[in-house]
Amino acid sequence: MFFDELDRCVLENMNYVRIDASKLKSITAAASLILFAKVTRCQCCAPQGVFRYRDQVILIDFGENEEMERFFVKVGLWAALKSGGQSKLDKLWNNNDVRFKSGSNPSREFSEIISWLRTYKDPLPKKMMSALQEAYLNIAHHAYERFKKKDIPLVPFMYDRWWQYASYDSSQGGFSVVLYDMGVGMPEMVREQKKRVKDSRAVEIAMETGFTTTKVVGRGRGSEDMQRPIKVNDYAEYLFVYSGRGLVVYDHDGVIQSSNLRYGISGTLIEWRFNEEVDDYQGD
Amino acid sequence: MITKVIDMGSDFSRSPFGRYPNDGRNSGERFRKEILVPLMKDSDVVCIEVRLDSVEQGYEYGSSFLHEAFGVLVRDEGFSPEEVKSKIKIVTKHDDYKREIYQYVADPGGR
Repeated sequence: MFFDELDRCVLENMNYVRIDASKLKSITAAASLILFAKVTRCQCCAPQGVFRYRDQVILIDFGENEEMERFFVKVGLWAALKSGGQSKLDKLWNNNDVRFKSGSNPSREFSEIISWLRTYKDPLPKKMMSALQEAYLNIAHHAYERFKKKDIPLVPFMYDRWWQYASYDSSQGGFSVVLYDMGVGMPEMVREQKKRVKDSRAVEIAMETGFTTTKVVGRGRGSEDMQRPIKVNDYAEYLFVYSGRGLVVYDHDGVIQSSNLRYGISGTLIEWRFNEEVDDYQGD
Repeated sequence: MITKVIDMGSDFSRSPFGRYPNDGRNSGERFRKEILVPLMKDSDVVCIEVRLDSVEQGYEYGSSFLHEAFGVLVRDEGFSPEEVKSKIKIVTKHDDYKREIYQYVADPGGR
């Protein structure tokens, strides 16, 4: 809801926005990633003829909330959100301490993504990179296709665009990778074939092996790759898929939660979460 | 009668990615069309040894690349599963890649 409001203020009503973060107490990884995505889209896509300083179209004001400001700086969220455009996003790739990245050409960026994630956890969870490879391909092949065909064409910045967050929590343990796109979402794609299905069921269908919106025989294997890190790593906690209004959570054995939320998300957010890896050695 | 060795890292890419050329220059389709198909058609080559493990540290193959590179040899290029299995030898310490590739070769059209 809040994030939709950002889009409406900037991209529809053409207003500059100041976000009051003076009373902010905490922010989840998923929310910070969506905030990063929404702010940078506005900074890069707000019409230049309307906004003289479009890279400053959204200002975040912490007021006296120094604790939260320090937190934003520490995790790289400040570097990701501060005034800037495409060059700011490019610079985020030069600093592996920044937990936020955005890209649109995963083939070219894949080596850097591997290096970046290995700074948090090395070796990476088994099948994590094959899962990510398929997730990027889903974005490139499906997420924005419908928008590309509209009368008002998608701005080049948004072509196949994804935003990503990664972290390793050294105090509590645990490794997270979160990927977000602002595409059409799984429910809309599934409803091209199954018209009366609810969002959460649509997400489940989209994640089933063999489901594809293409008519090419042999496609539709990527969803299995996306679930594999949760199945093959004993220390995996969950895979969280939120698309449209559908939220589906998987653990090692399959779906553990499937629900339709009150508010939808523009696009798809996927999180792979791993607990601290426990050494099998039990001692003498 | 020769055995041709294809080392993924030095002969193609240290980070193969994606299915189609639109996905990037190191796609499964390019690997199939530029490397595997000419060797499959060369009657002097009796064995193609594909060494998968010389990729970047941390890299893992995705199903799109493996299916497009190997499964589509059977689905679209006119080779039988038996021809592909007898001519292409997959060399890797990861048995799951080997299983996945031969599964795509046996059943390239999905489950």
